[in-house]
Amino acid sequence: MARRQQWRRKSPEAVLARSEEALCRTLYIVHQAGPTSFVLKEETGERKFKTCLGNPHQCSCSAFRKEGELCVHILWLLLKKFKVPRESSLSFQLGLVEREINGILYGNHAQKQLPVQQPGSTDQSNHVVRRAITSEDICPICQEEFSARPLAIAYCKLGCGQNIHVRCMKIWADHQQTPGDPTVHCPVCRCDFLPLKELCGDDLCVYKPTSVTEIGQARVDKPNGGRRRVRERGEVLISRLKAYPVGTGGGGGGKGSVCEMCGEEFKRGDWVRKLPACRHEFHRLCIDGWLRSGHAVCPVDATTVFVPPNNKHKAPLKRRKRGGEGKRQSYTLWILNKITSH
Amino acid sequence: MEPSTSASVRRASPVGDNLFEWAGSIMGPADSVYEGGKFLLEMKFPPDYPFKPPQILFKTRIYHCNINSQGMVCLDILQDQWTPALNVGKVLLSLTCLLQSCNPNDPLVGSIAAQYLNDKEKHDHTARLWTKRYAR
Repeated sequence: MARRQQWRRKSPEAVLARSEEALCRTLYIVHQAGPTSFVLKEETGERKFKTCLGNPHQCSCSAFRKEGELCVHILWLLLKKFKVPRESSLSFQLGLVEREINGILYGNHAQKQLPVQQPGSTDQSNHVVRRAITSEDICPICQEEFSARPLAIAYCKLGCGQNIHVRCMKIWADHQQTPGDPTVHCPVCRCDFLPLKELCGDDLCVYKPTSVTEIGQARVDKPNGGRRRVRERGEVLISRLKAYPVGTGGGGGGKGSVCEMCGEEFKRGDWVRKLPACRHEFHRLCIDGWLRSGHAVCPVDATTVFVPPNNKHKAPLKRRKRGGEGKRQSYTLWILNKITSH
Repeated sequence: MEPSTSASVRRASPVGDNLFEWAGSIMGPADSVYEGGKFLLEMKFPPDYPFKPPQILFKTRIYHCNINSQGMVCLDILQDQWTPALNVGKVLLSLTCLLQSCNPNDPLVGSIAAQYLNDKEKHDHTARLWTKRYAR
């Protein structure tokens, strides 16, 4: 809709003074007739004023009717009720078009200030604050809840702060139009997500357990000569997956359950290993052989095998420190496989 | 993939057991020349969905400069602007918006676009006629 009043570049002196007054004034909203239509009452006195923001603004007070200039009531609504900043040119117009009114109602002008504040207040890297992950949040690509699987999660650092599975982003990167372009675009806000290299970087997170997963770092650390150590570490990781002897009540090998690989029922004395993410149970020998042969997924449903952090084992900790990755707390086995398969 | 959109104006669900072939429908938006029409859609999902866009065909004939007589749709988010964060609900919403306001500057059917720009009254009349004839 067209603007009925001319757009003002500068605030008139009278309006400036009145907006000062409005900011100090206390008014009560007696009734709200619509989203932008209010009945206001002054702190002292019984008089009520009908004030309406629109194209143009309207107020039933004598000052507005006489002068046709913004009154204290309109300015109070704009500056105090809707929190339009005084510097904003929207605060001294005689009327606002629908788009501007919508912006005020949804608080857009407040958001516009955010990017200005952030670089100074947070860090120099200009990164957006990551959105908090709640139990109901889903990855926008695979639509699965983050809490369903312990996968590494990256977020859109330069745009919307949206969390996305690293796994999904990697597939999306493979599908993007320009293969030579090293940056991946955020599927939600379309801005640059991150260079692929950084996707394998340091601030990935996993929803519960809240440990840091540094995917791909192992590859960078030891391009060569670490194969034996990697294999050793693979053994350590496999040994960190829970295993119980049948009949000890440790939770593995319930009555009548079978090993998903060999199909045989668990007998007393068998060792049973349960994969943490999918909770499938196998004979320890069956699943260990599968994992050692270069597979890092559950043989039943292909869930990535995730090794939970475990500080009880001292030997693996020592070994990790010698490897120079003391910070790392958890791994996915598939990384190891990638390394061993090279 | 998500289940049928809840809004009664836009529906979509798989055809039979094949999850890669869906059928849907959108109602012509109110206050547009397609008002009152029900447009049937055929959606085919590629095996690498959601990393590739679904293929959408209008099974009901429609007089629209971005939809041709075979039912093919010219919409950026179904081509190079596709992102995996889009889903069936959002695509149907975009199609409704396309019906509400067509894009004659990037037409699929040039003659309809030219008519829209030069003789909007006749264009609207034909579109209403087609909606009445084919989409009810």
